[in-house]
Amino acid sequence: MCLLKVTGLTKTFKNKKDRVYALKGIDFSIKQGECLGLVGESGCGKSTAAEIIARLIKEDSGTIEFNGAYITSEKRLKCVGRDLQMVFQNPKDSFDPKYSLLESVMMGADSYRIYSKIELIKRAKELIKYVGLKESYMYKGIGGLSGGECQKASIARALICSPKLIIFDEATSALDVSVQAQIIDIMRRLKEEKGVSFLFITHDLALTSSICDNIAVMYSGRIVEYGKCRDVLCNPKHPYTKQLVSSVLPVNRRCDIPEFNALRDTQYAPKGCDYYAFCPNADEKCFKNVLHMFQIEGRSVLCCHADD
Amino acid sequence: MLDIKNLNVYYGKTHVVRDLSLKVNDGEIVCIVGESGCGKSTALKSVLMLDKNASVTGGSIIFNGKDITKLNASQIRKVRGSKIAMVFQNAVLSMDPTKTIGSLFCETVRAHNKKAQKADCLKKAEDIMKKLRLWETERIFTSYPFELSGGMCQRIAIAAAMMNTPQLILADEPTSALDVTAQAQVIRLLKQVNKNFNTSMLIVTHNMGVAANLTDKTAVMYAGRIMETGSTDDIINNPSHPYTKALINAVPEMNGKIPEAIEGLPPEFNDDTAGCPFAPRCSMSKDLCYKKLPQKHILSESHAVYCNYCYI
Repeated sequence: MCLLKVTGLTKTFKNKKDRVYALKGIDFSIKQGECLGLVGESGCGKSTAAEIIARLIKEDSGTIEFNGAYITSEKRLKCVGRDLQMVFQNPKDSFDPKYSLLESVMMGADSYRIYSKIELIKRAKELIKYVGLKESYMYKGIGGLSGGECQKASIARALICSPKLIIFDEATSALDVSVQAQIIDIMRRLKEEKGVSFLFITHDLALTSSICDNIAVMYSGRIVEYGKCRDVLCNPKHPYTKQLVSSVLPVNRRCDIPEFNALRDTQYAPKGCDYYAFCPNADEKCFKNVLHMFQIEGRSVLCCHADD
Repeated sequence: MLDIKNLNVYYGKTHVVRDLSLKVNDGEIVCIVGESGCGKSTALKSVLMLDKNASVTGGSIIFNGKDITKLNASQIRKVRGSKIAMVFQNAVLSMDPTKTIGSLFCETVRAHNKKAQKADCLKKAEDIMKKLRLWETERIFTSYPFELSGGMCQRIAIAAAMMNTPQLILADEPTSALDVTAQAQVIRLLKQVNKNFNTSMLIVTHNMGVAANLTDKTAVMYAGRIMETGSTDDIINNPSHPYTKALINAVPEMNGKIPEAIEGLPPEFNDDTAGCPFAPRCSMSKDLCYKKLPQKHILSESHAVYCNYCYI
């Protein structure tokens, strides 16, 4: 059974002058205990999707089914409640610096009142140990923690109500490699021991391969490729995914960084492919045709030439 | 060309950089890698004496035969931007938001040559940008920094650094704030600058992929000290120091390899232990490591390591 099912989600931001189409209809699903990676360049709508699912902002159209119930029409936050938690990119900004670590972690359960005070303290202490923070930090102010430690604290806070799904919104992007590896280690343990599902948003493709089961590549508000993580990364079909994969700098060998596709002089085509302006093998068909998802080799690809 | 010898930098009483020695030859790209807070950026900034709070207490920074640590403020100002240029981590913030990119380019030239005409500056900027494959120069010159994307600004910052054809570019985490596509473009651009203008570079990064694909030489830093230096191929494919090995193992790869975390935390800067700073986190450490500071052991002509055991 699907834990989270998103269908046809759209969102438009209105500016003074024009409209920004942040999401142009995306579909994906996450099963219990699964991890979905949502990747793409800055400004492609990844975070907007996450915020809508967490009910921080309201969508224009589309449905979200979470834990067997439709949450799209409901009022904010309360409907997803303790089963869905979020970990943000900048951990320091997501805490109130005047509280101690223990208080900050306990605050995650404040609005649900499911534990007694003694139970709550016990749980918080266990979780702080679980994510690998020193016990001596327990009563220290959260402001004194480093970026990596703060991120671990925010994972502990997200875990306090034993959620079913945790959304990681670029949670490892601001951290250096060794701390990043520690966070990945915590995620793997959670997945195996507690069966927590993840929606892992990142622009680091290499990172998704070590934790995600499925991967959805986003470009300009649409999912352009969606399938098993290994398949998509080892054998990308969409020209955008190909470019993204070739941009990852390998550590163990030197690679020739490819020439980047030049921008084609074009106008925005409301029906056609968003990647038309950069795609090396685009033609008239891509500009005029209505986009369709193709099913090839167990994955969906949004490209007119995918089956060539 | 640049020869840093036994550099020591303090912030007040905090000893941040300890006995750093590093050489950059003509046309070479050298990088310093390490975790956050190991003193990489401080070392880089002290080459141009950019940080007023940092005091350089020992050692020397020889650039073209002159010791930079002995120059006075106005002499250093002549070196900054003309002989040695700097590219910062956050390019958008490093530019004045009230000025267009065009006037930024002019200002860079005029700081060292007051008679330069605006048209000449822009012509030169356009030439450099064309060489670096940055198109749409007209639009860029009339834009403000905040109107351009982060990747675009970073590339312009590199072009602006090239305006006075410096001999050396210092870059502090030039790609950390960018996503993978923009990162690859910036790395490609830095390579082009190195090839077309034969400019040397000293780069600070925590991204091993950037180090592996861009640089000729790598120095690994930990707690203010250099742990291992060598050609990048040696460091990546044949690392000796346990810390270098751990750092490389922590990098995720596309094949689904699980990154291994390094246990423990880096020491505080004021921690004046007698032994190796990495000993408490090291899997190979023995009693001697806690007592004796490792000396330099030369493994090959280009490869040296500071460890008590791993050279055996």
